[in-house]
Amino acid sequence: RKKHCSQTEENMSSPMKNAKDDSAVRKYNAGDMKSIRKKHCSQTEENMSIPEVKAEDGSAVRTYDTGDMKFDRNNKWTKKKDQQHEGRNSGIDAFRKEKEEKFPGRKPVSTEALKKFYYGPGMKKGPKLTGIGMSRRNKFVQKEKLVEEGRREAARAEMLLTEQSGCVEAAEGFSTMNLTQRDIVESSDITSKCKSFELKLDHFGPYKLKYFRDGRHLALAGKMGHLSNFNWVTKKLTTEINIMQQLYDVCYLQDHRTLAVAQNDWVSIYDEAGVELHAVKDFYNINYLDYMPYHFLCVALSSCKGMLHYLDVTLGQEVTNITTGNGRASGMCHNPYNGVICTSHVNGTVNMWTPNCKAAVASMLAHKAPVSAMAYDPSGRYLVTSSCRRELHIWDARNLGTQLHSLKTQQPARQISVSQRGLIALGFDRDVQIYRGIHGSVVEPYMKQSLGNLLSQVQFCPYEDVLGVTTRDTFISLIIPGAGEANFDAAEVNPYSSKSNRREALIKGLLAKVPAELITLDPYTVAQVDIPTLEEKLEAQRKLVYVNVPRINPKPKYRMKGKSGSAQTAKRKMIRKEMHKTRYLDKVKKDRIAAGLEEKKPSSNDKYKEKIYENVLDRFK
Amino acid sequence: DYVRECGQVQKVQHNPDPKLHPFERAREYTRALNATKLDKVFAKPFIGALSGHIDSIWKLANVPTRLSTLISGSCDGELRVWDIPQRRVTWKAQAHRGFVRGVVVERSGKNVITCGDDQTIKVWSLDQSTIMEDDDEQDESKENVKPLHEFLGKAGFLDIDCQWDSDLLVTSGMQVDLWDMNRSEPLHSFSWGADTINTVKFNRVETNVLSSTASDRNIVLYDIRSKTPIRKLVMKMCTNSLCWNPMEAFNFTIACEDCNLYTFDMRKLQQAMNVHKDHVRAAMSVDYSPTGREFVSGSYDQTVRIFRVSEGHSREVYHTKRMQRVFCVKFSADSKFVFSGSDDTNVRVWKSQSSARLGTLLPRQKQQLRYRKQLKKKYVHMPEIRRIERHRHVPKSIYKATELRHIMSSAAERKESRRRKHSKPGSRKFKVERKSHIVQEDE
Repeated sequence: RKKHCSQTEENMSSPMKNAKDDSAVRKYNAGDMKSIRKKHCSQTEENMSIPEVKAEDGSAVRTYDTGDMKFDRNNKWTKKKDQQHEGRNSGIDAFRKEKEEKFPGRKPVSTEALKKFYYGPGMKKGPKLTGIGMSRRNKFVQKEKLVEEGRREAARAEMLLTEQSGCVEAAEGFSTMNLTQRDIVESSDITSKCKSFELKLDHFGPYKLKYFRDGRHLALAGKMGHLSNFNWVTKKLTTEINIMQQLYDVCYLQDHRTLAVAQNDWVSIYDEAGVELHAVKDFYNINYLDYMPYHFLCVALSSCKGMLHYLDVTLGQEVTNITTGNGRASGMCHNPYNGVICTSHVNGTVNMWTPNCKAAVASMLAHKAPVSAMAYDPSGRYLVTSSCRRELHIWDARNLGTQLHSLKTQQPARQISVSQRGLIALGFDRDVQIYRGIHGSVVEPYMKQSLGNLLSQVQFCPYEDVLGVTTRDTFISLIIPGAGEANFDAAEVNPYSSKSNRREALIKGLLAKVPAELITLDPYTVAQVDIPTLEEKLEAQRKLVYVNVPRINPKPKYRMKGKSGSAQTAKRKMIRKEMHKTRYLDKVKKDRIAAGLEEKKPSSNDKYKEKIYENVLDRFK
Repeated sequence: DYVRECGQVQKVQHNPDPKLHPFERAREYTRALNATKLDKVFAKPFIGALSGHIDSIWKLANVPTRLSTLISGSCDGELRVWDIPQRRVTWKAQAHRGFVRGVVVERSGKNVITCGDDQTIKVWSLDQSTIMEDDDEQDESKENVKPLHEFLGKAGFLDIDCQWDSDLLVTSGMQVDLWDMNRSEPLHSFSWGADTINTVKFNRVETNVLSSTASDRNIVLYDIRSKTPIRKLVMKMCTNSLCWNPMEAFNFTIACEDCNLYTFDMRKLQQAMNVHKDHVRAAMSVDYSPTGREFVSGSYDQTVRIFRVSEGHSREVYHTKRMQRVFCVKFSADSKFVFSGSDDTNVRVWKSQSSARLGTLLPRQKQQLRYRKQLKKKYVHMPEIRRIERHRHVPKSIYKATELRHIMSSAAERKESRRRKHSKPGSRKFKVERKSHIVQEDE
């Protein structure tokens, strides 16, 4: 029991939060229930499941708790039936009623959960498919039914999740902002207490930090050459070396034992024993490093040179390099939703890059001042940027240029990090503020913490309610309730993985390594039907208006008996060219007719058809 | 809760939230591509060759009650009964002088009935007590095996088949004869036209219906209840073999001399249901899978091909350097194997799914295979996957011949289109490929 307790709390959400509230599980939100009822009205009674509430007399009566009004659905339903079959079928009805009470059927899926697994409108509202037969259309319809069923099942599977997450809620008149770390630590259990700690790192000054994807390992790189890699939960040190060079950034590669470090001149890769495995000397003057685990790509940005490098770590080859331009780059991050690399610049733009295109796939003027920091939220839907003019913007990352929310901060934010549950941590000069609700209106901070020294970096730890902060001389681990995702998926990242698990995951990951060519702004374009947009159609039409016949240089065959003299050859060349031209123009003409740019001339056959005279003598008229 | 304790099964936590599963589509596509490539890696369809015959193998027969037994009859009149898993001969006999033209096993699975050029039908017991040890004994034992009964006909027989729900036999040759096992004379004789009748086959579902193909290019359907033939179809080229679909009673497929196979609905003989093209020389033999969804064909071009009934091109092509012209093919009764008998005196055993694994599979392996299959199905239209999936290596001669046939057919098409262009509109009708190989249908 003790063990269970500690481990649930480990992933936990909040020490402050009450124990699992059974009633909360059972009761439905009033708003939800209405929509469910609307959707389910056609379905049979068996598919409905209704929470049981004990009535005063002790008998189990099913009720909907719809706010003020109580709606006794079952009673109403039976009453209707009773009126219909007065006396005749009362026995059957009673039996049915009893059966329904015993077996209420499957629990309805909440619309919230369904929304999460929404894959688009499907055939009904999607682009129209023309020119396909009924049978194929039916196949699509069948397939869509399957997709819908899968969606429902996935949403239903949420019921099986073992953990719950939630933030600290303040009582009326109080604010969570005033909670200090000491308050939180005092009221939490011993395992959680261990997660709040501070490391004094005096001499190697300002530190960069990176949590590994499973949220258990932490790499710290001091500017003066101190590199360490440790399991911060057990506080077990894996690597600690002094590289004796300036370190600019650090990132984990596929597993927690290999680190890529941006050093003075180039990027080096170290293993757990601190041995330099590779020195990637093509990557020169790198300031920012990032790693995309599904593509096995290490991305490096040199901000002063404006060069973006992609390194395929499975082959050890550079995939591509891109010149970013737009002045000095002030930050880099990758979008976990589509694998697009985002760089922010001093001219206020945010540019997005893929390895397949030398130009930016998207560019956005985020601020009219230098962008000071930016971060994606882990779902890849929102982009948070801040500028030197103390602005903070939240953008819709899929619908670029749509600003969802904006905020004026007291100081310019130097660092931003977004947690898995959507908390935003803003790092200012000497303090950190955490805001709640990336979707809602950000008004006042959820929590804040002042720091003793100048801030260097902030990052939320995945799958834990922890925020890591580094300053000039310390690393601080803060407990922020409600930050991490409580339920992990062991098939993707398993914080509790064993050695054999990790090995297997590595092999499976390698087998499903996504090629760099598949990185696009919309990750769902893979395996989609290529339907030309209106723009493309217009472009194709425009091309038909002015036609240049492509030149050819024919080489006529050598012929015997003096037929290959220069005059003869030139003549034959001419004929070939003419033939090519007429054929090409004929083809264009056909296309033009098809596009509606030209009208079809009646052919000689059509003339015959038109001149069918009723009377033989009519032709002499 | 998350860490395994001693002796516990490891729990795997799942969270279906799409946020935790990025690049779903791209990763799935990569997996589908891998699955397709793995299929190619594991495609080893050839299991083994059963050698021993001295002359080409002309006929193969399955035993309805046993999966492991195969019977082959060769051109020198030898009959061999094979134990497939052991890859050895159970017994053999010098059945006929000249070709063994037809081999069939009675529905009880006890007797083998053969017919040959020497005007005899012989009935053999399948369970002969002779056990072969070495070659000398074999030759002696060959003399020892004697048929149970023997019927003498008026002319040489070319094929034999047995009804599926009674003991009636049917033979072909000069005419189609219907035999009862207990009588020495045929019960009834059918004839329509005067040419030799090459093959005869009973329908397995509608057991009273049978069909024959003759060397004057016709296919005749009979009903043994009506005593006269029902219908006759004349093709442009001679038909070498015919097989009824075991699941769809009215459909049958013919292997034609013009390299193609045609699937017909016996109710609508005006046009074929499907034309299966891929062989480059005459198709010699055809046999349906017990599922009725696909069939195997052997050809004079030294290949064995497996076709889906609904598709015009083959799903699979099998060939080896040593395999010569294929005279007979057979699907095994569990639809997992294909047997081919060829000119090089060998019976070959192939897998019907080239990359299938033999032997029992663990549940997890099964699940993995199911998943891969589904992935391949989902992404089959992606160009890269399609290319890999469709690619088959064929011998150079066949590759060239296919190319040549393509050139010829496209030239003919081009010529036809030009003729149409330069003639009075409507005077040249479009030809339907499915009808173009049929001459006429008689009732």
